[in-house]
Amino acid sequence: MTTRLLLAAAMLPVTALAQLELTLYDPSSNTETPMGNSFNIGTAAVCQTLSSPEVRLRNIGPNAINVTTLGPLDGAIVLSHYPLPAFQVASQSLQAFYVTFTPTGPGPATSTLTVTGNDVVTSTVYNLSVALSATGVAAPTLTDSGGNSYCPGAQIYVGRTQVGSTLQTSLTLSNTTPNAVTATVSGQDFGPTAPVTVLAGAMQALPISFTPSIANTETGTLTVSGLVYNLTGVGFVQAVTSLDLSFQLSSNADLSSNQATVSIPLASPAALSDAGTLTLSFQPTGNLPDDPAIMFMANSTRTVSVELSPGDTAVQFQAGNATQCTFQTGTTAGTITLTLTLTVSGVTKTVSSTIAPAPVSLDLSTAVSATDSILLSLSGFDNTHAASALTFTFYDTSGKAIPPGLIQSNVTSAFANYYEANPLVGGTFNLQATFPVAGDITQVGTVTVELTNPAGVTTTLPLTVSQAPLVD
Amino acid sequence: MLARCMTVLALASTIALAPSGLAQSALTPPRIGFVRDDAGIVRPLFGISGNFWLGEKFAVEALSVASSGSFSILKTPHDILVYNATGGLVGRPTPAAGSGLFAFAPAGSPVFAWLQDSGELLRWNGPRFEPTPVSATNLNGTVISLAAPDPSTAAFLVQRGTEIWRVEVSVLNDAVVFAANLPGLTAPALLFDDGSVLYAGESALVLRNVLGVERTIPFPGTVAQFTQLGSDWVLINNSQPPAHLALRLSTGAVFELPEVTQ
Repeated sequence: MTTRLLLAAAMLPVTALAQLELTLYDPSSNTETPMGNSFNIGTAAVCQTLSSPEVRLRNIGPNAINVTTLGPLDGAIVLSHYPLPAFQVASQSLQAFYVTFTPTGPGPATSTLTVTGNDVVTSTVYNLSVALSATGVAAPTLTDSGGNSYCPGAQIYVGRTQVGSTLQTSLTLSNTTPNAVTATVSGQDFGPTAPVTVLAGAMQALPISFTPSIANTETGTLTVSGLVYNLTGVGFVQAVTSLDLSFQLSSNADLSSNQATVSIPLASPAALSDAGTLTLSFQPTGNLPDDPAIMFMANSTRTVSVELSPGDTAVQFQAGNATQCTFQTGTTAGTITLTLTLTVSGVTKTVSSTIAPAPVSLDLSTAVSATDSILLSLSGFDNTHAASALTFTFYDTSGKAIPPGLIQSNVTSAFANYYEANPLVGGTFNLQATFPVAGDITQVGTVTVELTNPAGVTTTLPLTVSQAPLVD
Repeated sequence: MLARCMTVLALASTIALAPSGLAQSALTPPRIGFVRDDAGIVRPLFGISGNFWLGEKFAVEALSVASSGSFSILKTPHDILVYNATGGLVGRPTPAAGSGLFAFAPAGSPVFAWLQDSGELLRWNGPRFEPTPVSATNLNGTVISLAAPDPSTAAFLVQRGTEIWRVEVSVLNDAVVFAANLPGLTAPALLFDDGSVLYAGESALVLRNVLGVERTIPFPGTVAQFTQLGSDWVLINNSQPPAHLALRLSTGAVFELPEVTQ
């Protein structure tokens, strides 16, 4: 049973006959005492919150009171656990709340507890006013580089960084107390691990490191002489983007019959495991057919597996330990396109290399005389697949052209038929021509060959007609 | 078949070049030789410098193969087989056990086969290989390469301890006609019929001619074996990184060969 000590009406700072009163409730004795004209909340360390006993707003009148104003609601001294005005307090009933003090710095603080209400029947207005006071005392303070101050229990967000990397944040600990304080950081991904001592009256930078081990919001604590601050940081993994990747093709990638290389370095080390493929495609010029020899050498196909592991600085091919992959450019004019697809990051990136039509290129040319004939062997490629003319000129051992000089042959249909019948060869060919000879074959010294295709004319250097070995 | 060229060439009225000109001519895919992979599967290798492709599987369980461009010699677990440039079987199989080393004449025809297990030298007589008096006895070491400087002389690279020797033996009477230590040489190595030797030096391939003049070709890998692949071509079985490569002897260019995933 609550025992109320009713105040004399003359003591209440109201403008009408008091029906409202403020009391302080003591739960230990279950008693209420009038709050009076002033109330000292007490002394609190900076950042700490001191709460008053329960304050009760009592309606001792016969009618309900509509409370329209209640304060203070902001500042170092504020009410807590109160209903927002307007609200009613029924006759012979009460509304409880608290007054709290959270000093932002040392020294005295004041405010005024105000209550305004009106009788819902008589419209009589009632005003209550209590002078509030409190005192803040020095305590260690924590601020960040942006000037934000933190109180114990506050969340200090250190930032966001990639898993495995370290983010450094610097806080400033100002120890305004007469004693040294010790700051300790805990939490798996936070540092420093060793305690930091700040002497009395000193202000010292307190570096906080955050090295996330997983992609998550990680938490830790900073404890300063028993005052606990909560640390949070966000670890993330950065998937590769197309901007992070660049193709590096060797300079011979736009030439036929070459083995070119491709590598795909990253702008920064990969943070995330990834996998995918690098594929080759070929668009021949005009109506030329595909060229099967355009392929990766590692597996004789047009697709190789690739992968990325955290820390990799380039895409790894096949088994994951090679950063360079060799492919053939084939022997057909057209455009080779390389497409990288990474499944985890969803990146697709391409690069192309165009191989222009070129005159016939010969890789190996020999001329060998047998007993009564000369065998010419020409290996090479025509990336237009459209050689049209083949010309031979034989010279005697003194360098004089053997009449009639040029021996020209239209080879258009021969080459066309050959390429049509041999789709695997691309533009390569081996031509063997036998020239039966009557007379002293040793007088035939050299021969030059001209091959014509739409891109130009190729002329061999004089091929020396060598003698076939006598014994084979 | 190319178009016929009916031009008649006459040389000072003493000779004439082919009334039919290009009548006997042909276009074919450029074929280099045979390649044996690590699983013993043999495939023909086609192409030119910088552009290769493998043909269909030709043989399995092959122990050795070598090609000259004109002919190829294949060693199965039980026989020695000779094929011509188009893959046609030449002559008859020669029964023989184990792996082998082979030597060709300069123009490409088969000459000798060395049987590693039995230490015997065989000579090609047209239809098949036949025994010779040459055996491992006079070689005094492990044969690592074989060449045919002429039809009656077999040339060997022989490993004797840490030394490599070039030994030439008459196939008529097993007499050693030449023997010389080749200082600085290490296995694997490949001997050519002119006496030149290819071996793997430090980060380079080295081609040493018979006078001792060396030509180096930068090469970062670790060679496990050299094999004659074709006219002007040597197959390099690389152990690190594992790969098959082709060396063009005349240019010194090294190319990757297509790998086939089993």
